[in-house]
Amino acid sequence: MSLVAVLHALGAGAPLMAAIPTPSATPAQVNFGANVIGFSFLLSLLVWGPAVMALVTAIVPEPRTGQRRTFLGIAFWTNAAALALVIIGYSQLQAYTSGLQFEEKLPWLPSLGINYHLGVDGIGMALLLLNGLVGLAATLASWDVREGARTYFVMFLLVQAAINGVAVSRDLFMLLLFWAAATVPVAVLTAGWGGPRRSAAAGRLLAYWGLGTAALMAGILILYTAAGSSDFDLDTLSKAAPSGRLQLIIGILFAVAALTRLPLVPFHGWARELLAEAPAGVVVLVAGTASRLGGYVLIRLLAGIEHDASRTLAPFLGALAALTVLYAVVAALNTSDVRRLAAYLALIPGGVTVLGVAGLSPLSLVGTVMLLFAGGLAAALVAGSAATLADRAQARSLGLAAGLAGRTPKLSWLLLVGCLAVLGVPFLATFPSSLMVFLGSVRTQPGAAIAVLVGLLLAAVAIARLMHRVAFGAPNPDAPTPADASLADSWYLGILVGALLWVGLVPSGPKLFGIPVVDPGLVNIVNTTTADLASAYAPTPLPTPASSPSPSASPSPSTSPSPSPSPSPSPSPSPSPSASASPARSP
Amino acid sequence: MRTTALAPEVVILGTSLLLLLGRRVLPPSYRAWFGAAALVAAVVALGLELWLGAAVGTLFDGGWQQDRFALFAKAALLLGLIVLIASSLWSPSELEENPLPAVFVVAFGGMVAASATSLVALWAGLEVAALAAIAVAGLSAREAGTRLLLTSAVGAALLAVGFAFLIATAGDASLAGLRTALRPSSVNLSLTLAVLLTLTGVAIRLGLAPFQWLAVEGGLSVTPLGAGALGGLLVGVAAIVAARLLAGLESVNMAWWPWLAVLSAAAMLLGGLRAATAGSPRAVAAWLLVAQVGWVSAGLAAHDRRGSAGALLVMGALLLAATAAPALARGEEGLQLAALRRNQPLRALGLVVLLLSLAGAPPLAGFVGQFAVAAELVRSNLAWLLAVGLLGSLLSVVAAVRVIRLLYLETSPDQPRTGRGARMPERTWSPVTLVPALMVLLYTLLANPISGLALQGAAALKLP
Amino acid sequence: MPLILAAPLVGYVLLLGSVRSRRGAANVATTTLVVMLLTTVLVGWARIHQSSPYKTAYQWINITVAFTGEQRFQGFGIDLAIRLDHAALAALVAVLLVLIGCLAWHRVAGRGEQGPVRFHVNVLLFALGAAGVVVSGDLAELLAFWLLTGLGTYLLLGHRWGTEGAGQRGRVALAIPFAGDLALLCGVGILYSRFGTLTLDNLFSALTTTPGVGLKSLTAAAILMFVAAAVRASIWPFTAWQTATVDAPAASVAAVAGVWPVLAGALLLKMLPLMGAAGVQALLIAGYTLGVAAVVGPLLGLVGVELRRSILLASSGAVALTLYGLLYRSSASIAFSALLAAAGGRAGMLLAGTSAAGAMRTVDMRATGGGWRHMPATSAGLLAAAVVLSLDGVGTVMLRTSWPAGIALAVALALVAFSTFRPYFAVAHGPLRRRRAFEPERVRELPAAVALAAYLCLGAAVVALGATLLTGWIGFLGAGGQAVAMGTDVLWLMAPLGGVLAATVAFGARKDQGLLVGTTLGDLAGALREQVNALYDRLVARPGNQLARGVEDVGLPAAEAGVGSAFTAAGGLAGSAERGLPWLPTVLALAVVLAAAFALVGQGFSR
Repeated sequence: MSLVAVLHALGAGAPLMAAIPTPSATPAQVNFGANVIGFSFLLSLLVWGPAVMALVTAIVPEPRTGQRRTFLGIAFWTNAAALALVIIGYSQLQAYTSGLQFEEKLPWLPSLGINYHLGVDGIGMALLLLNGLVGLAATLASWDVREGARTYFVMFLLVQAAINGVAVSRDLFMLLLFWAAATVPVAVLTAGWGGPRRSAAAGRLLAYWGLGTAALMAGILILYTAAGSSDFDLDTLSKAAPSGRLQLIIGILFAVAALTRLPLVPFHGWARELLAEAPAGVVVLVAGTASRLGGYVLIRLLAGIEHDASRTLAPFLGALAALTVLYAVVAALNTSDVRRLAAYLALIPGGVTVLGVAGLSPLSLVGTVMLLFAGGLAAALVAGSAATLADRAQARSLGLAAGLAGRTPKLSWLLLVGCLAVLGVPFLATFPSSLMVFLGSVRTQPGAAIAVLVGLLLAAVAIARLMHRVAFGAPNPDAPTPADASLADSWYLGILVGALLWVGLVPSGPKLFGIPVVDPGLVNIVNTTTADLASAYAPTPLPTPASSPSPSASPSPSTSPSPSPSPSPSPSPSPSPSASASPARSP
Repeated sequence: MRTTALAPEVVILGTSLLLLLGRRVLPPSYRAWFGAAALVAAVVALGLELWLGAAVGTLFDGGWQQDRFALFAKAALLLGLIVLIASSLWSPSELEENPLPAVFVVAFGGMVAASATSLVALWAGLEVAALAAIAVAGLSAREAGTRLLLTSAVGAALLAVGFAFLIATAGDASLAGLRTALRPSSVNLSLTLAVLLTLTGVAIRLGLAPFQWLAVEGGLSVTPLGAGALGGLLVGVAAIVAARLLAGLESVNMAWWPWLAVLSAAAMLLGGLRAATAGSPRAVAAWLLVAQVGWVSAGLAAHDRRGSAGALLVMGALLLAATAAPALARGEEGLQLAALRRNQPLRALGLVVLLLSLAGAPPLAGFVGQFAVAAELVRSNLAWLLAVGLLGSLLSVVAAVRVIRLLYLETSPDQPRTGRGARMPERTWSPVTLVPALMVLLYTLLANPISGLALQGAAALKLP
Repeated sequence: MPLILAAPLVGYVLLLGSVRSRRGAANVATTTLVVMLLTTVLVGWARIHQSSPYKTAYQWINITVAFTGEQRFQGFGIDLAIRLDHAALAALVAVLLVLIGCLAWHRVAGRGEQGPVRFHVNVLLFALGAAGVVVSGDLAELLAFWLLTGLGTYLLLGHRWGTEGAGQRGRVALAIPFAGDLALLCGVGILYSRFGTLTLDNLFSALTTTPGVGLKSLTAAAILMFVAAAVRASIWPFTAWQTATVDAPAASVAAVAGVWPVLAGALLLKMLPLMGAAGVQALLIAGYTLGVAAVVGPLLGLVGVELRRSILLASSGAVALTLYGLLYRSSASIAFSALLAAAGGRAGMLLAGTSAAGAMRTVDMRATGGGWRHMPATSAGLLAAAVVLSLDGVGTVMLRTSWPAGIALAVALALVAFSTFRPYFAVAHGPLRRRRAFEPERVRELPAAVALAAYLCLGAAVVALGATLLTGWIGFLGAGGQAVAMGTDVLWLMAPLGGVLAATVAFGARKDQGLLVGTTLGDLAGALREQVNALYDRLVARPGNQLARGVEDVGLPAAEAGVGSAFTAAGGLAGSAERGLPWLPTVLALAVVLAAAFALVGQGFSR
């Protein structure tokens, strides 16, 4: 914040007082503990804190030998602090309101129409929480980084700053800035500490992410021009209504940007390499959060702004999602490299996420936002545990790293949990989110939804194969003796599993006598914002009854994505949850 | 307005003379201080410019004008000068041949061009700067100097012919007269040819592909200081001349903007390509410069106020990064770089920042300007140019990352592989080498007032 | 009441957290199950006179997803709803008895198994899922517990580690039935997408009153639900996932084979209103499938001489018959009761059979024999189980007599009897021959606990079967239909009796010849399977692999590398071009030529 204030004072020449952001315009419903600690600059702290610590890491004098973990320590405590801040923000975020919160708005480059505008709603908060958790896990996953630790953690913290930045930017220029800023550090991390094919991985990352960044920039600029707007503020641009054709172009550009990140086939070249080559910490960070930003952009910019374009693109997105899941599974069935197999499995949550966006129904969109969180954790868990397993087993091929369950029980079970999380089994966060996505999209995108399910079925086969070979099968006598997870490994994977379990068990927070305690519940945090965003896609009420419902006119499950044209009774307080789901009734 | 407004020019010219004389009269023991003195003088000049330059007006009955554009251009040039000197200070061997006077003359030529009101003054300014820059380069590398001289002479000739054509057509040498005399209707083959020759002449100095000989080959074949003068200051001067000139030719923009767009596309693409495949950091820097010059000219090709403002922004960033980059990169390549990072960490860090800024990687100075230009390109339906530019930037970033990899990731800092008798950079710790990087960061932080100034400058050019 | 679900959870956590010894694990697991059983019984006692189901719900998810649009889709909620009617209570008791029986058996006979803690943890997970399925009153909750039970099944059947076969079993046990689970998911999805609710009560009240929802959706949903039930009940053609995993620990196999049919039945019972509303189409499809399954399953049971496999297949016929009864309200109760019997019988027969096989050191029915002489208790168990399974379908069939289905059902009854008695005769009768390193005289009855474990399951089975004759019990179950009045249609009893007689002739009297047929058939089937696998490999697997490899390992990298190298080449080309050129003339030429050329095509030329 101080940085911003200085910048502001130097820049617009306004007094420092102006740096104190205007209070967000959210309704006055306050939940327990709100404003016990009032942050007017929480978000700036979350974005610039890691950046500043990166600078500190870069300039602290070389530690004496024996204190090799100095840099790790800095990164760890930075992440711990960041997570603590996020949790405070999360618990103070006012659920059931759709406005921006913790908002900060300062003119930055007024001459270019660019503002320093930060703010979160439910969706952004979910991403922040995800990044907090994954960041901590990724730091612990980097426990064994000794070679060039300084550079590693500098880059590492920069990536996190950039990710938080994307999650909280309300000005599209800043969003682009942070979006692009993550690229170079991730590339350096991969090229520096990766496996044998690290150069290829880094190169592909630069190429694909660069392409995505270019697409995003072009899309933003076209939107900006089409809106005839004087600034890049999301609130301004979201009101713009470009012509159909232009909207489609913008939509396609945003989609390309998002799909290169998530990633979706055919933009998955970088993930296949990076998740299989990068060190565990980077894998966790990239699979866990950096790639989720794609889904975020898809929801925020495509579904959130370009309604017509979204409707037009939905079938294609659905097809891509199905293709991705199916393709990833087929590829996974055909690889004999543990890490690469896990990398393919890690593509699956992205595919399901996009199915949710393609579903374009309120429920599927809520599911998508939930899946940004859950899918990130699942992808990070499966890719990370595979990376660690390959390290500990000193082997990557299914032939060598075989039958480990007896000798590395912890890692085997964690890998299994990761795989199951990808499948979306109950008690894990991916279950409610995937269920919402599916239930929400089975009507609007039946074909894609079924195809994704088939993909999941095949994924079960692939997972069974993986577990069969790696964990439960016959061990290979020629393989080097494996070691089970170290304490750090157990902790970082444990954090991911714990988060998955927590949200999976109590998605709407634990309640005592109906009163939420400790956790307002992720689903409650995200749902109002998303509902606000998704109301544009809500199925329209049917016309008033003209005749008795004729079965013949009703849609078959595999056709007619639109609500059936058959008549309906006047809307009555039906016993469906809709009656009981009004915010008023909820705590 | 009063003639005190000329103080900065006087300081610059005076310093150059003093440095020249001082070499003759003072005992050698004092020479060590020349660099520092020059730096101080340059800073003083910049201070004076920012203080006195705010006053707008003309002198010598309209022959010399001070407007916001002049202010911005001169400030940028002087900043470049400061960076150039600072980055050359840490290796005194640079200053053996006493190139500093000539460096100051380059800046002076630029200042003349910035305040020019007529084609003649523009021409004079550019040529003075070019000759001085070539002198700087040629001091240590004679035959390279001659080649540069010849190349530059071609540019000068094209420029002269073109200007003559224009003056003949408009019947007036002043830019204002040019504006009034030339109408869209007066575009014809001869005028187009004249404009294009002029533009090509400028492009040769500007290092715009495919005419990047001066900036790249020239720069690579001479000392870092010379390269900084050629591929930094001179490019800045040429950009200033181009901005002023094209503002004068605004009414006949049909005759030049497509040509300029083509040239900038070529520069952005070729620069990116060559940078991504170049061997040494210095070559990378040179080619990144070409790519960024492409962005400058793309901004000018948009031929309106905001486009030129964007171009000025990029030019400022370019002056900071490109003047210092050769001095920081020097000759090291391949294995030496790992050792460089180990022995001279500050220099390595500074180099990385400069390269990233040249590549237009966010959030550094270069990116801000390029984004402004990009926004303008979309607005004026030059999306194809934007596409090319983005591709070029992508390649540029790849190039920068390649250098980072060589610097930081190739060998462990503990035991550098010293093979093939490559001379490893000696262990030094000179904070001066971080100055350019800091300037770049400062430029980024101050992007707001600077972009405001750039807008005012573009407005002073009376563009639509 | 929620203790029914809480108990296994607590036990689960306890086991995971603290217990490390085999005995401790067994104790905790057994205690947990017993506690569940007691709770269930208590509840049953409390609810014995209320016919209305006990309901309680905890809002798990309850959100507004849209502020506009159709009202039923504006909100979304998933409740942890417990819906406990008499049928559910009965099912719970049966499930728990089977599980307790399996644990008791494992405690003694499974002493040598690896990973005892792991085993009991998985059993508790399985029990939790099963209990949840039985009591859940919300479709999403049902789905969740269903998947959870599936997960438990996977872990139980893939329990033995470190061998190729184990991994293989795990694969089969996870992958194949997952298809059925996804069918359930699809069914739920269709129902939600039409009615906007997941709670069973709301759903069924809206089934016929919601406009714009036609028969097609309902039929599709009903069929999907049925498929889910059929796959997990492992009736033909979905038997593979159980017959392929018979090498897993016997207790696991018995538990899975015993519990899943009950869960499938519970699902169908819950879906009765849907089946009714879905119209005749769904019922026809389901009915025919079950009829065929009831015939083919036992027939396949006659193929091959692997003891456990033939028990599974034979009993799958009985299960199919009872599920058939569950499709119609008029026969629901009796069929359900019979299903519980089938479950117990199945588990009991598997346990008893495995005990015998363990003592006789072979699962090849040609080598077993002399059961009555060496292991009377076990043989008695086998006999009882065979009787239960043979008579199991009778009640259902009596209530669903229709021409020509009647014929098929009679045949099915006969076949079930025939093929269930086959293993009994194979084990209990005939000589126990001497083999290498096997001394028949050494074969002793296993400890009483083992036999008792099997008897526990069988007792449940006998009781459940006998109860189908009691009107009170049928009324208590309250799912509809009436009891079988003895003396009506006694003719139907001829079918199973005929089967038994045939079995006695075929295997009792001339065992070796009878089994020889099975052997040859088994060999034939094996050869056929080989062929099919080879064909699949040639036509599907290998081309698929090649395709994927081609794209992933060749195509994509080639494309990416191509782009990269293209840029590199372009850069190099540009470089070499300009290095090769004489620089000064080139500048001149370029300048003039470009300028002139552009001038010619430029705007100026037009004037």
